[in-house]
Amino acid sequence: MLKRTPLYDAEQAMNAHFTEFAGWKMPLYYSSIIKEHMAVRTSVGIFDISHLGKLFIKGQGATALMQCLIASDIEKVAVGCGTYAIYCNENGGVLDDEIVYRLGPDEYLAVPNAARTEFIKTWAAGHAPETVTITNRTPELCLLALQGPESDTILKNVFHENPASYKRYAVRHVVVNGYEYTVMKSGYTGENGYEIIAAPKGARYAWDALLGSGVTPCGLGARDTLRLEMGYMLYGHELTPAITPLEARLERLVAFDKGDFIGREALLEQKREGIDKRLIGFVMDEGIARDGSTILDKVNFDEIGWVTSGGYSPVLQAGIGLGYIKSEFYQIGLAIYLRVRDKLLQGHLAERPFIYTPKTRITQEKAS
Amino acid sequence: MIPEDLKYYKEHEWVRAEDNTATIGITDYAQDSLGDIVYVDLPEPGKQVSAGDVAGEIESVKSTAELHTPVSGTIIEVNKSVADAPEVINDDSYGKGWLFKIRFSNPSEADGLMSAQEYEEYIKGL
Repeated sequence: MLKRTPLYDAEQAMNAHFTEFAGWKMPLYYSSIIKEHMAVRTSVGIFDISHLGKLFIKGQGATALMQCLIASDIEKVAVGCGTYAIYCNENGGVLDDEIVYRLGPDEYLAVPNAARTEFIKTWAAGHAPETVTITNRTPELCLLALQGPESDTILKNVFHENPASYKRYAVRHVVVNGYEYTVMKSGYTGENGYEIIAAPKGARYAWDALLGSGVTPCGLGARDTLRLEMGYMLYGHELTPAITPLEARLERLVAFDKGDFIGREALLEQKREGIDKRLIGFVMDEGIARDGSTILDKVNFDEIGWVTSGGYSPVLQAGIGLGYIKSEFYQIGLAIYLRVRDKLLQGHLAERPFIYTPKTRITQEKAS
Repeated sequence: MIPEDLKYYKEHEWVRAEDNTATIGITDYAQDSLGDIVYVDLPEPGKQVSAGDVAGEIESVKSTAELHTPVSGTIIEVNKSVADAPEVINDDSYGKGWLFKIRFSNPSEADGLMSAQEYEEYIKGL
C-alpha cells in the first residue's frame, strides 16, 4: 500500500493525477505539467512535498556528528540557517543530498530525499553517541513548497511575514491563526521561494489559504521539469553511491579543511589521481533523450557518456538533460549524438542552468 | 465522449475508414494519459506498413509512447501541422490532431478493430 500525504483527499478532490514515487502516492499534475511549470516561472505555485524526510537530530555531540556525516562545514552555518549538503560513504560515493538546517547549537533538521530517509536515519544513528537523539517525524508533518517570483507577496499576505528578513536558507518559527509553521527560504525550482513544514491541520489551512490567494497547485511533474531546467541534481539519477561529489561538480560542498569526515580520504585521493568523468548538461537539436540514453562523440561515434536525466524544457521548448561524460570530452558547446532507442539524435553540451537565472530573466522582461 | 463512427486499436489509436483510405490518430484516453505532448515523429509518406507496426513516436513532457498503425497499407499523407504544434493532439485528438493516412491494402482489416462501445469497456478494464 502506497503512503499518502495528509493532503491526499484535498488533492484528489482537485482531480490531481497521481503517480507512485519512492513508496508514496503523490500528485504528478493537476492541469498540465507545462502550465504548472510556467506558473512557477512567472507567478507562484504550491507543491505538496510531504514525502520528503524530516529528521530531527538533537543533543550533546549533534554538531560533531553532523561534521562527521556531511562533507560541508556545519560549524560555519549560523543557528537559524541551513545549507545544501551531501553525505558520503567511505569511498566518497554520495549517500544523499539534502538541506540541513541548524535549529540550535546542537539541534538540526535534515530533509533527506524520500527514498533515502530511513537509510540516512540508520546511517546517522550508527555514528551517533548516546547523547544524540534522531527522530523521524516524516509521517506526522507535512511539507509544502511555495515557489515563484510572487512567493514573497504570498508569504506577506498569508503568513504575515516580512520576506526581506529572510536570507537564503533562513529557517523561522511562525504562528498563523493558531497553527504553527516552520518556514524556510529554499526550493528546488530556481525561483524565489519557501518551504513550509506544518502538522496536517495547519498544512490544510495553509493549502486552502494559498489556493484561495490564487497560487497554482503543482505536481511532481513540474517539479522535475523545473529542477532539470536549472540543472539541479536528483538523487538516484545524477547522484548515487557510485558517484563522488567531485565527479558531480559539487566540490564547493566538500570542506577538506574542516577536519575529518566520512569519505574525506577517498575524495582527497581522487583529487590527486584525477577525475575521469564529469557531470554535464546537454541541449537537444531535436527530440528528447531520456535517462539511460548513450552519449556519442560526433566525430568517431565512440561512446563517451550516458544520460542520467532527460526531459523537456518548457522555457526553451527543447529537449534538455544531464549526464556524465569522460573528462576529456568536457567542453561546453561540443556537438554530440544521443542514442535514443534505435535513433541517433543531435545535441550539444551546455552549461547549467539551461535557462537564464530568474534575476536576469526578470530584468530582461522588464526591459522588453 | 468516444466517437461512435470510428474504430479503435488496443494501443489507443483510432481509425476513420473511408473507401480505401484510413485516417489514424490517438484517442482522448491516450492523449490524457500522456499529458502535454511536445514532439511527434510521424512516418514517411510512401512507406509500407503492416497492422501493429510501430509507425512513429509521441513524446510528452513525462514520457515517450510508440505510435502504432492499426491497419496495413501505404502511408499517403501525414498531418504536418501537428509537428509544428503538437499540443493540437491534446486539444483535439479526434479532429485537428489526426496523425497520418493510409491507403488500405485490405479494407476489411478495420472491421476487426474495436467499436466505440468495446473500446470504452476496454479502457475501463485497464
